[in-house]
Amino acid sequence: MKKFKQILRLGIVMLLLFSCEDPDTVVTNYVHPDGSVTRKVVMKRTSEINVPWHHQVPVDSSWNITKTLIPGETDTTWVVTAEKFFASADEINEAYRADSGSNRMLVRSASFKRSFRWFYTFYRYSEKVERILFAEVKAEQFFTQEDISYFYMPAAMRDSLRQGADSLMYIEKWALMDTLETQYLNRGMVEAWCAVYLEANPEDSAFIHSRKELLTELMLPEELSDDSIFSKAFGQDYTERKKEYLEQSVAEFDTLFEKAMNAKFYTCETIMPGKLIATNGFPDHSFKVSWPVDAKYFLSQDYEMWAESKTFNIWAWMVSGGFVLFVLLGLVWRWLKEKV
Amino acid sequence: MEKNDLNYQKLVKLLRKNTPELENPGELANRVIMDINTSAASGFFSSETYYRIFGWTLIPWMRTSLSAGMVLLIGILIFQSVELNRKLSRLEDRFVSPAYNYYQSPYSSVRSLTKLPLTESFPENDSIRVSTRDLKNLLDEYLKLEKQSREIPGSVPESNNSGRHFEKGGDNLKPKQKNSQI
Repeated sequence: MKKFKQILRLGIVMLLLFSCEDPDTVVTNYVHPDGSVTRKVVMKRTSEINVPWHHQVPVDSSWNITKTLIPGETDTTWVVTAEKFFASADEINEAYRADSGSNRMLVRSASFKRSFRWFYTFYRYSEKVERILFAEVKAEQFFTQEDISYFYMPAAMRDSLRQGADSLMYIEKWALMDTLETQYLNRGMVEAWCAVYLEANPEDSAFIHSRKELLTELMLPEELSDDSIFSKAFGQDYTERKKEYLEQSVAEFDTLFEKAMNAKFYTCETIMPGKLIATNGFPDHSFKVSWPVDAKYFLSQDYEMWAESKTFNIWAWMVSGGFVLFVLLGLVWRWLKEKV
Repeated sequence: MEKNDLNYQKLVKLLRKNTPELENPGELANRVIMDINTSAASGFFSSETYYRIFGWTLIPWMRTSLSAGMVLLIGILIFQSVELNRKLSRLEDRFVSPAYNYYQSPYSSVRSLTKLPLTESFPENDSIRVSTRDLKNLLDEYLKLEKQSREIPGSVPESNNSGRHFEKGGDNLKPKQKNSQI
């Protein structure tokens, strides 16, 4: 049963931090109007990056790979740039399915949709990471609408806000966000564990559900003690009686949670064709949209990174203008004719 | 025959003596002129070419259909414009710039800059004035140069506070406080 506490102690820390060993990876998708995507992966690290590396995203020998060394004052930075043209989002999905990198256990998919709407053509590109734990907990239950944007904000932007104007306000904000994030992740894990446990003990459903809040509270770092969480949440008698099931469920949960522990962080960027009109990411002034891809975002809910853009259909504008003018002239001609 | 000829000549003489008198000859002239104009105008609107082009307006169902089509197109355009504006206004809130915290979006930058209290930055009696557009251009050029220089390894030290370089410029354009500018 102590294993559950270890999972919690280590798990949350691992989810909130990411390994310094992994190269700083940025995946940029240049989406073309025909649905093809030029995908560029840039990996940076202060020690050599061997290719093939266990990349956060699938990169193999079919990619155009270049290596660069950038000498710095203290360290030399190794930069590996890999680029490949994908004829469609389906090809990216195939690459995801065949991925043998460090994030191979994640279920990821890309989709592209083009909608012709006469005056404009709209494009939607999205990359989705399916949740790791099968019990769904929505982030909206824990964060306000304002906090949500901070929760999903890329680290570089967070740092920028921390060091810019109103830094004290942001530092305070992130202290609160850390607490909320921990609560949210804990709740996700509790829900997932409950789902695992109740599969074997469906008759205890009402009892377990009634203790979920308490179990979540007990999982907060300051509440974690050497005593069994289960004893505190469910009582000594119940814990003793169901010890075998509880241990079994923790073992199952551990296997499940390992996926989240092994997920490697990277940043996903997308440049859409035409003019960007909507996204759930964070665009910069060159209309490049960024999303952090971190296990905490897709632990308990699906994480979709989408962006929409539009292009003008010049010919449709011309045809429409001509048609409207023609009808108006016709109506004016008729009106004058009747008047005469 | 001669008798008939004489009678005819008598009649002609009689008619010549009794010439018709117009009560209002001016009005007759006006009416003639108006009729000529109307005829010309009616010719213009009833010319075959125009009938061919706009003849559909004389057919009620075609007139209704094409008018409805026109209204529909305008309606689609208005709807799409409104929808796009709504989406773009939401998108504005998501713009962030690592360089300038107050420089929120390409759309709001102009708005932000127009809020700059230029009169506070410059002395009252200073003749130097910088227009909003010039100031925006200056900032844009600065950001562009900064981005380009970052691509040259070792040219600019990595810093998240790149916005502060501008502050350290030390000229009159230097904002007093970031907070006070917004």
